[in-house]
Amino acid sequence: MDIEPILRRIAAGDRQAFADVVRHYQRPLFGFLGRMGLDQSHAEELAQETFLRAWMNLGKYKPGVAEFSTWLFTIARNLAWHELSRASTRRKWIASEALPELPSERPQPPEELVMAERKRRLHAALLELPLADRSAVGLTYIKGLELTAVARIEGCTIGALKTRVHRAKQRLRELLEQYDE
Amino acid sequence: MNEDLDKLLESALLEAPGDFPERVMRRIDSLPVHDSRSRSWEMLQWLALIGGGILGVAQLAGFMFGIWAAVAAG
Repeated sequence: MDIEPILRRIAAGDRQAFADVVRHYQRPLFGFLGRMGLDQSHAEELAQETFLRAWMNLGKYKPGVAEFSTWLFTIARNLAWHELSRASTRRKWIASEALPELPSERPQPPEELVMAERKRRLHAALLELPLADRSAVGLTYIKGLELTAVARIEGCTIGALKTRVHRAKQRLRELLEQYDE
Repeated sequence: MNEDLDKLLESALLEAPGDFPERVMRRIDSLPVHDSRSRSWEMLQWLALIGGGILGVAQLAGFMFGIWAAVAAG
């Protein structure tokens, strides 16, 4: 997404131009927040807060310094870390096993039910990971976000990032196998 | 297993509600406009802070000099 024409439109007073930014990034942002282990309602709150902070600090964004996506996901990552590292909140989420609910209004095809169950298990497994590993995995699986950008957001080298992601995936596989037994 | 996990991680664990952009924009519409004027205002605030700081240091220096002069005069 070419952010500069949008920034120019916003600077010219067209606030609605920012809606294009929200529409473009909402999907990867919710994907990231889901991989961070947040439930739907907390993810919605944090996603809104991310876009609001981006809006309020838009004047500070320097296109030459970092990609807009790097800047935006840095905000999201910091908000998610802050939220999840509050011990009481974390305990509450773990205790409630805040997994995505299966919609029950309409009958679902078996393959959808299987997928929903696998997502539930992944969500539970993600909650078992340390925050640093969860965050590394969460950002790595955002389409279009380069590894260098993820390493920059995480404040580590690419090598260290790869190690964290590898370790996290290893642990996820173990946990998912345990759930299958 | 590896591919399965990759696919699972790539899949959307959570989805944005259909009206999410409208919700965000409603909240943004209630915020003040952030344009070059607000940046100028921010710069003005910094200048005022620095100016105030310099005046404060000058006052303190004057006070110290006064005490020193009084003590030196005996």
